[in-house]
Amino acid sequence: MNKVQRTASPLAKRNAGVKEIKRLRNTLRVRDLELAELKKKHAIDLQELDKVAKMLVQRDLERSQITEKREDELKQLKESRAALLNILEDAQAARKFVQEEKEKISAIIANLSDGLLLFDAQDRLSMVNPQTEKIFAVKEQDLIGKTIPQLAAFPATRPVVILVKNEGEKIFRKEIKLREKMTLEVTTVPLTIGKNQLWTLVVLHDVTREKLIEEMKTEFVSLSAHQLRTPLSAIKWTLRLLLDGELGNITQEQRGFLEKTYQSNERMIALINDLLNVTRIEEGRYLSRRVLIELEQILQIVVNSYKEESKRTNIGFKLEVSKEPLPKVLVDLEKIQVAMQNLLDNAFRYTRAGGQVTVSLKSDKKEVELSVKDSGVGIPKDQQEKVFSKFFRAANAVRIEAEGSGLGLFIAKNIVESHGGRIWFESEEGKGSTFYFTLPVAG
Amino acid sequence: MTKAGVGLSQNLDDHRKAGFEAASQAVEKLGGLAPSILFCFSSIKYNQEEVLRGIREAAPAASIVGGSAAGEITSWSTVFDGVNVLAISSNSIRFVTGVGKGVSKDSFKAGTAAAKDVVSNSGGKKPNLFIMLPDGMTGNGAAIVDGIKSVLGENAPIIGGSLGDDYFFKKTFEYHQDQVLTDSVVGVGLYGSFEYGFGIKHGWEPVGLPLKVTKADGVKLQEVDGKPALKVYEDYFGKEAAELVREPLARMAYTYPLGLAVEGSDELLIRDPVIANEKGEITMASAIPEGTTIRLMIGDRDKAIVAAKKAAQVAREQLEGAEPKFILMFNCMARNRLLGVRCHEENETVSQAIGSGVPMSGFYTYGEQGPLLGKKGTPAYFHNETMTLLVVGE
Repeated sequence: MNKVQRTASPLAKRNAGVKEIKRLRNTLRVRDLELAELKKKHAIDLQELDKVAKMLVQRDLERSQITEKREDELKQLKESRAALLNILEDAQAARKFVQEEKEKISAIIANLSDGLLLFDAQDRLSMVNPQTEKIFAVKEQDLIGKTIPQLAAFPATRPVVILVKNEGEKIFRKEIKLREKMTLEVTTVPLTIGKNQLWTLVVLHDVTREKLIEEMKTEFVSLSAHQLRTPLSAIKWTLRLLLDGELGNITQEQRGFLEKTYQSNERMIALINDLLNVTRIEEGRYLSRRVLIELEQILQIVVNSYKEESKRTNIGFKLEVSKEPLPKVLVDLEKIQVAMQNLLDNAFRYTRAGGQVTVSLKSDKKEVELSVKDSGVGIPKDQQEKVFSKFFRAANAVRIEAEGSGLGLFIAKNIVESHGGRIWFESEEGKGSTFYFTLPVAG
Repeated sequence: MTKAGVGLSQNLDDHRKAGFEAASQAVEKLGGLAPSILFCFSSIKYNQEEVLRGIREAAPAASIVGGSAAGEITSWSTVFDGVNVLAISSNSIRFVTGVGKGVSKDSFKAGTAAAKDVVSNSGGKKPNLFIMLPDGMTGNGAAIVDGIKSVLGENAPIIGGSLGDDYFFKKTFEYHQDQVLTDSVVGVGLYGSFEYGFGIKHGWEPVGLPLKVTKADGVKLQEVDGKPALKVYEDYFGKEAAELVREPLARMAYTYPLGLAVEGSDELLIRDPVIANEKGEITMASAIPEGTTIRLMIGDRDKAIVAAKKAAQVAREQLEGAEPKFILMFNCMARNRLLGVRCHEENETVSQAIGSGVPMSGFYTYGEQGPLLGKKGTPAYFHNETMTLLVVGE
């Protein structure tokens, strides 16, 4: 059936419109819901992003803190390394220096012309140098580590070792004749090594040559003196003949000159004798046979011989002997007389007219003591040290008598000390001197 | 004709000699010309008066400006225990100095005082270029810039860097002629015919959701998104507030500053947090106004170096063909922190990009001043974390 097309009625139109609005509203509602959903999702996404961002920042903060720390540590390590390298350099430089010093010292010790021995705190031989090896003709390895008693067993080293053992710490230039062509001067030096460890350094100084020269000198003097004696004796004999008138009369004037010549000759003979005595002392040939006597007896003889001198010089002379009997002494008669004479010679020579010389003799259980006291010029303080030296004469003594050998006291000292006695003096310039010597009691 | 030379001394045994040596080295490179002005920057390890005396001995007639730093930069080295001096001799540029004091009392006023001082010393003229060297610890850096702008003009060419103190964050010093000052701002006006270029870029990037400053009072940032400001760092660092207050915050956060968008820049303007209190309020190096949207910024070493290079290139371009005569670099101390042992890399990059033969002197600052992105003819702002360069040529 054909429906007639009619225009929609207003009501129908309205209904369609309302339907459309409703449809649109629904669509909008759906869209709103969708939008809300999207927004919600978006917000959640952003939150997620923010969470991630926060994690990222935290991680980044950790990382940068660690990096900072690491870089700091690296810097410190670098600085420590630099400091250590510096220390190492310094240590190496120090070690090099020490090594050089060591080498220097080793070279010095190895090349020293003196022999060196080093004993440790337990008196074991720690070191010897090449010169020592040469001196003893022994190798270092045979000596090192041995104690003093062990070393004493070696014939080569024995004399030195014995000396060190007996006299230990304070040996100063003691002479030892090791063998025929070897004389040593031995000196010991105490050393403190490390913590109060007392080591001993022994220095061996070869004086063989010096000894040889001294011997040659003494020999020469001896020979010369002997040679000189002969012509002097001849002169003395001839002058004596002349003075005794055996070769004819002589005038007073001639006598005067001849006397003077005779005296000069006598003085020369005395000087030669002194020189010969000195050489004999140095050669060790001086003392002869000893006898047991009372010293007073010799003294009397000597004193008597000076009585003339005393009168002539107008110097008082006295002998004081202890009242108690004096013990006997074992002496070389001739030499003891020489000693006494030398002391008395000096006493008279250096005392002026009107002065006094006193000789005293006393003793105790151990020794006999003799003294010669004068009121002479005395010995100046600054010269007293050298009084017993060979050829020494004090300045004021030289002024009083220009001639004199300076050997008198040297010889007297030798004689007394060879007998085991002591000799000394007290003196004040201008007041006088007293010379003493002792001799050990025999027995 | 303008000639410049840079000298450096690290003589910690004799501070006066250090000043003398650095200044003499710089003056020597002028080849016999007398210096008109010396820019001097010195580590706080030196007695500032002694250093200044030594510098004066080497250049009796020149003007002296500068101050204490958190690191001394030259074209060949970056050190943290030195005195460096840039000596400039020119018969085409006139340097006029001035000073404004009392930055902590009224930063704006101190800024105006410095600018006015320069203007009056020049005989009433505004300079072609104004270099500012403010105290790095006191007052409000942005307010000082505003003060200067109020005298010289909103778009006046202003560039500079805040003095430092070797990361102690205690006290910084400014040099004006023969005086060692503090809490001051020193200004140098350049007059005459010359070309100049600015390079200002930082390379930091924003991270995380934008945040809104809901409460602020001057430099004090009080609330962000309705919560105490410190919460931002608590959330991002995952650390307790107490720890952040103690640290102090500055040391942890100066490579994670806050950034705000400003018109005319594709980079956000950075603001450093300095210190936080128990209330969760953060004192910033410069004010962030209420209602500002801020983002947390994250730094990346390589990006920082790239930014430095870009800044140098821009500065070079701005010379429009003129030959560069000297470079002054105001490099934020935070960049040194970020780059660590690689800090000298960005300085070398700048030097090479402009010309390694060009005398370059600078220091690590506690804040920088200059127009955004270095665009000439736009207002100067206070920056943080930024590589700020001035190249002068003719």
